[in-house]
Amino acid sequence: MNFDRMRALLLDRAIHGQLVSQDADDGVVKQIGMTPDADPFTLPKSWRWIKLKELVIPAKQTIPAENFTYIDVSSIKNFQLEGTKRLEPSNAPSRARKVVQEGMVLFATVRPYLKNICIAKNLSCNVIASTAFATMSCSDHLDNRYLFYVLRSDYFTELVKGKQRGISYPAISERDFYACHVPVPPVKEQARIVAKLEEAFAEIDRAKKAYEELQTLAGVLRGQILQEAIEGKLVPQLAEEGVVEQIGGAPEEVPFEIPESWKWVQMNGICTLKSGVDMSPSVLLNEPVINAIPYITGGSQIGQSGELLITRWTSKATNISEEGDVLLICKGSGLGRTALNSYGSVHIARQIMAIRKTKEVIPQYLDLLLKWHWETLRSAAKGVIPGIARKDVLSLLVPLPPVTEQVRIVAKVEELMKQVDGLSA
Amino acid sequence: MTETQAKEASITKKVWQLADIMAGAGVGFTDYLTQLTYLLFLKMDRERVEFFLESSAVPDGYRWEDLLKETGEDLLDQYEQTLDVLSRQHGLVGTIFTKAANRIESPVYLEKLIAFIDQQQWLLMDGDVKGALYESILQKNGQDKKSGAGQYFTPRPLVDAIVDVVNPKIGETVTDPACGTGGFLLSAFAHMKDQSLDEKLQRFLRNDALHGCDITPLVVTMGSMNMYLHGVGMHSSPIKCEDSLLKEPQDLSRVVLANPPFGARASGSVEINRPDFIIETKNNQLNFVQHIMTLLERGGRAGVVLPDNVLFEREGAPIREQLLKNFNLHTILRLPTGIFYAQGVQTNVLFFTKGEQTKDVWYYDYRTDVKHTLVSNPLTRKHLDDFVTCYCSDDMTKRKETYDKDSNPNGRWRKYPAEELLKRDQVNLDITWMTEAKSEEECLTMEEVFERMAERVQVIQDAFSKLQKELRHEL
Repeated sequence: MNFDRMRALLLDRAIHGQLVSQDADDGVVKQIGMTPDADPFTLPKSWRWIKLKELVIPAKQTIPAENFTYIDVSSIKNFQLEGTKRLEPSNAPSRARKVVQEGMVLFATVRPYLKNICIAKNLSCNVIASTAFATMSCSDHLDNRYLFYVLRSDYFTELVKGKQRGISYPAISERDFYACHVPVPPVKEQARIVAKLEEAFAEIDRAKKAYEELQTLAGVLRGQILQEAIEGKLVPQLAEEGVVEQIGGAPEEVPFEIPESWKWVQMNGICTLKSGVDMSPSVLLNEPVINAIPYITGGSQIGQSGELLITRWTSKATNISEEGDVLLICKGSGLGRTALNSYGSVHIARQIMAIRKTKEVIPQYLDLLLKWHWETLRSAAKGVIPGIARKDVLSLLVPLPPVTEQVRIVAKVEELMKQVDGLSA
Repeated sequence: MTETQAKEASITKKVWQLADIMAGAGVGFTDYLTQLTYLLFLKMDRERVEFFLESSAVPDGYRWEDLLKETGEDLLDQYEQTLDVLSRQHGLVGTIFTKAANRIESPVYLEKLIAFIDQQQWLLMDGDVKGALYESILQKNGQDKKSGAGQYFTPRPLVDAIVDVVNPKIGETVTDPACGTGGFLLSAFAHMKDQSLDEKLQRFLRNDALHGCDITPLVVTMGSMNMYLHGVGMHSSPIKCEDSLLKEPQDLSRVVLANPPFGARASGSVEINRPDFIIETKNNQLNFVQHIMTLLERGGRAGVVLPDNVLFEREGAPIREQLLKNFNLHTILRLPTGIFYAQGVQTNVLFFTKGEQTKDVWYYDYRTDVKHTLVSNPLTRKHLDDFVTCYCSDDMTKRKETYDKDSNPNGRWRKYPAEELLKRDQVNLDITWMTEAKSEEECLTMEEVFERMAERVQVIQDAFSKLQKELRHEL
């Protein structure tokens, strides 16, 4: 969902005069100063291209003499003032110079593409902005909120980008900034544009918030589905599927009750574990050759839906995972994530563990168990030596249903997860 | 702002400005701080002679006035010789100048620093002011990741809370076997100094009560200076540069406070041969626990910051058994992450008394659902008020659990009988009973979650259809 793109589209329409209709009663804007050599784009007949310096009054400069509220670039978040600090004159940065008044528009001329832009509202007394801002109030021909939106538009950002200087500290000079042309509609139309934009942006905010909540809920739901699956509540138990035999000693304490045909077992009873080892870059190949198998380094090579992204091969493989193994990222980025090896033989490096099933369990259910224990594994990895250790995995206590029930559970989980994905996309 | 505060603020500001200038010349902050310490000491020695007509602690020819006479390369020579001679002295001077070496290679910058120090009169400053000043510089250094000195630094609010509950009394000895810049010792000093006006006790407090060791010369210098500026150990520093683990302590201590270094003992360190230890290990913190167990007098009290693995690691089981059987391990404070310089390390404070058996271990869980960060939400002393109240330092029999199985299963303060703990596999003391607060969503049933998701989808669709009208076909 690209909410930012939607906002950009709306702004673009607004400054082209296509968001609200023109009204002959609004009159025609009078040209002030020079027109651009060539119009950047066509405007409605009643609009004009006018340089900023003809429309705004830059803020006065001063050296702070009493306590003041300081606005620097980091004080703007999401186009709003946030986290300004109160300073004493003795601690004033040398950049604190511009006297800000209620309703002024601030535009960061340093790294302008970051769009640190805001309208100064609800100010305390004595507010001073950094010289990193073009700080301006508007003349009668310009609504400060309309100006605020124009400065946020992609058109203006691109314009400014073309004029910025410096590589490590890219900035546009105030002179260049105020020389930029902006499209100016009649004042009444400006107000209508602003109202329309505010309404539409509020709608987008609502949608965005709902979307974020949707993602949180989907996460919760996925967890609940997993939990129900592991507790034996997702599919009914069938008498003809028999009863699981206890493997290893039965645990004294169990986390929760499971169906009677199931057993609590330790992971080491139902799988074996192979650790990975790094290989010297000199034996890695960028192209597959005969007898070479893929080399899986770590999290970066396991895709979002658990597929293997193969970029390198080796013909000197030593620690080999086979098809049907569950691969677990035990170190580094993506720690705790799992993927089913459906590819075949691959060499695994140090950041991966291959967990191989025994006959009592199917790979997909093994994968489910590890996903269910994700948090346990992640917190085990927070020790003095970060990373999941062999014993962290092998000592996990897990519920084990009969194999045929496992097949049904896995299918049901897959079906439900698809539904959740469908809802939250 | 009072005059002294203003003065302190202006000097602090100047110290930072100089730090920036020095950094420009390639002198790192920690290096700058040590050089500042050396020079400050010499200047104060000079003032002692001038104002109090005392005799100088520094040998003739290597004093402040001798530095002032020189400029340029000659100044560098004089300074380097001074450091060399003084590092071989005994007593306080030798400790302050432990392994001292010059790190400011440009004479111009050295002159700048000397000129700055020469302008101020330090000795006449109130002891608390110059102590606070130096301490604030050390703290800042402790927060500075680049300098790497943060690893020596225990957050002061935690130090103060530990001192408050262990409650050292004037007349008692206090030892920190891994003292860093002296945070625990100074906090203990501040805690005790107003307890009595008795001159003998005060003298004891200033000269004999406090003892610290550290293995790093740099922090020994800073720690000693820190104590000196606070008026502790005017003749010989209470802090020694040595490896605490190497030999059995000669003098036992009534109180031990420490945050020993975490991790494995550095390879290449001298091997530890300690018949008094229960187990042989490379694990630094297990070694320090054993050292502290020996170091305590009978009836002596300890408060020690330790990582989680001390509570559960297999190797440590015999140590934990001892702590429960021959010590009274009465309290374990579980700390959250985000309060130390080292990221993600989970720590605890163990409080124990030597020579009694443990009946109950009281756990205070200040970890579950607690989130701190060094910058945006740092730990303050106030955060630990509830723990200090629960601890009942003056009479531990008054302790009352806030945990209750039925009415308050998430109470932070809960006791476990030692008998039960001894039966646990590996005498594992790593216990939590609180459950992390669930978000509102996590408490919903699956049907409710589905329902809410459908509502959200509706909101999004409504918003989109409205926007679509504005944007017509472009969405």
